[in-house]
Amino acid sequence: MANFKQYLEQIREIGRVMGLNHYLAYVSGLPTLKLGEMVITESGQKGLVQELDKEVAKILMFEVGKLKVGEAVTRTNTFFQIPVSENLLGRIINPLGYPIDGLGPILGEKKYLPIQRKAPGITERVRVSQPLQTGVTIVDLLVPIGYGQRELVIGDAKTGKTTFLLQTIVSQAKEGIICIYVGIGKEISAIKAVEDYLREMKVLNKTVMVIATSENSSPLNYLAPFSGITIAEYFREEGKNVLIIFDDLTSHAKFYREISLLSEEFPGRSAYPGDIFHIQAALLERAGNIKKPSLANKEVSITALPVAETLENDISGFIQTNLMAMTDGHIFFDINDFRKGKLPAINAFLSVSRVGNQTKKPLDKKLSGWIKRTLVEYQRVMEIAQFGGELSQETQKLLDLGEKIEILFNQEVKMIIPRAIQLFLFGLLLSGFWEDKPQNIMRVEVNTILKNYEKILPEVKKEIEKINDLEKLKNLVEKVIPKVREILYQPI
Amino acid sequence: MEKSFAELIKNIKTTEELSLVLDEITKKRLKGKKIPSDLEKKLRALPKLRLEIAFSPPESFIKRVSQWLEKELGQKIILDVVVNPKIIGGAVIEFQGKWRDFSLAKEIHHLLSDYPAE
Repeated sequence: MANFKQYLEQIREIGRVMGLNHYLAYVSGLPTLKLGEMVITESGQKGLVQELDKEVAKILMFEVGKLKVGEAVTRTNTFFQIPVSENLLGRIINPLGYPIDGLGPILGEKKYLPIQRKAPGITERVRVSQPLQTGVTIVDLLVPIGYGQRELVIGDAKTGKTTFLLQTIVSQAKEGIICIYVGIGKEISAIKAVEDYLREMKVLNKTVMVIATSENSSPLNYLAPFSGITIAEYFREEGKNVLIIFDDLTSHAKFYREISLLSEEFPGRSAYPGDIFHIQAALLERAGNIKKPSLANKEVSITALPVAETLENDISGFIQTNLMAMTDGHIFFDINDFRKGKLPAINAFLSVSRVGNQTKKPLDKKLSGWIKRTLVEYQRVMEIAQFGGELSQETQKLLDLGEKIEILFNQEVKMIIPRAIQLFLFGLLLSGFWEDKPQNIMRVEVNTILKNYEKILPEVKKEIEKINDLEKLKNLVEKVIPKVREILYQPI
Repeated sequence: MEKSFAELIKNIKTTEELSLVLDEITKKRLKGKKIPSDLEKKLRALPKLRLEIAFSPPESFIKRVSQWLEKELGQKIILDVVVNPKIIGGAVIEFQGKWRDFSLAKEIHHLLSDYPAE
C-alpha cells in the first residue's frame, strides 16, 4: 500500500481535519470523496468514510487519540480492503489484516479484497444437503447443522457457548474444513484461552483468528465480522468449505450503536440505529451453500455460527430476535440447565434447526425421533414425580431412561465424539446394555468407552454407514458388545 | 475611525489579517459599538487558498497574488501563506479540497528518478 504522499500526488485532493470526537473525525475538503472509501492522514493513519454532509465528511478512524485538528487527509480511491492469502491459516490478525500474534509479517502473495461485498444471488445458491458434525452429541442428534447453514448460538454469558464452538472448530478442522474465529469485544485473556485450546487440539494451523478486543477502538470491533467473512469468501472462492464463528454479534451491535450515536444518527429501539438489522443481515447473507461454475458446479459453503448473548435467559431482546430472524435456527444454552450441571447446557426443546434435519441420514432421523419422544415423556413424568407420589415401575423406568439419555448427552470440554460413536452409544442404551446398571456405573462406563473408542471405531464406522433403522443398530451393537466389555473390564 | 475599519476589511488578504480583523470586531462589540451581526459570519466564510512557497513573501507579492485571484475568480480569496524551504521553488496550492504541486522540488525529483540508479 502506498503512503500519504503517493496518494496525494496521484489523486490530488486534500482535506483538513476540522474537528475530532473520539474516533470520529470531521474532515472538510476532498470534493469527490465517496461513502465507504478509505482515507489516509498525513501521519499515516487510516479511516473509513462513515457519512457525507455538504461541507464535512465524518470519518471513522481506526485508532483513537493520534489525530490532530488541522492535519491533512487524502483519499485513496479504494474501498476498505484487507489482504487475504492461504498464509493466513494458523495466524491471528486484527480486522485490518495485520498479524497480532507476534510471529512476524504474513508472507507470500496476497490478494486484496474489499470487506463490503454483495452476497451471492439466488441462482448461485443450492440447498443445504450435507451434515456438519460438531462432535457434540446433543447438537448432532437433536439440533443438526448442515454445511452452508447459519445457526445462531444463543445463551447467557459463561454457559459454554464458546466451548461448544471450539469443539465444533476442532471437529471440523480435523475433517479439513477451513475455520475462522472472529472475536468481537472479547478480553485478551479470553482470546488467549481460545488460542491455547486450538493449539492444544492441534487445529490452529487450520484456523484463522480475526480478533478485535475490548481494548481496540469501536470501529475496529465493528469491522471485525466483515473482515472475517471476506476471508471466508476468499477460501470459498478457492473451492474450500469454510466454517465461520462470530463471537459475538450482540457486542458487535453495541459497538455499532456507539458509533451511530457518536455520529448523531437518529436512535431507534434500545437506542440502536435503524439500519442495525440491515448491517447484520447483509453480513450473514454472505454465508451459505453455493455452486461454483468455475469448479465444475462443485458445491462450496460458508457455514456461519453467530453468537448472541442473553441476560437471564431472555431470548426476546431486540438484537437476539433480529439475529434469530436472520439465521436458519438457533441453539439455546440454558442457564438453568447449566446450574443443574448439564454440560453442554443446551436446551434441546427451545433450540431449532430449520435446514439441518434435511441433511440427516435415515438412521439419525429415526434415532433423534426416538430420543425426542422419550425426552418429552421424561419431562412430563418428571413434573408429576415432583409431587412425590408413589411411582409405578413403568414410570420409574422411564425416569431412569431419561436420566440415562442425559448422561449420554453430557460431554467434557475436550471430548469430540464422532458420529459413529454417538450412534453406537445410543445403540447400547437401546439394546438394554445399561438397563439394570445404576447411573453412576453407567457414567463411568460411558467415559471409559469414550476414552478408548478408537478400538471399536473402524468397525463401527464401516458398519453404521449401511444401517438405516434402529433394529439393525441394535444388531450391530450386539456384535460389538464383546469388544466393549474388553474395553470396560481390561486390567489396569 | 469607522472609515479606516471599513478600509481594513476591504484590504484583508491573508489569514493573519483576517484574524486581526476578527479580533478587532470582538473588541468593538465589547465597547458597545454597533457592527452588523452577519459581518463576522461572512468574513469567516470567505474561501481560503493555502499557498506553500519557499521564501518569505514581501507585502507587494501577497498584494499582487491576492489581486490576481480576486480578478480571476471574481471574489475575495483569503491567502494562507506557508513558508516551506523544502519545496525549493515554485508553489504548492491547496484550494477547495484540490491540491496541486507546482514546486521545483517535485520537478527535480522527477528528473532524478528518470535516471537509472548506479
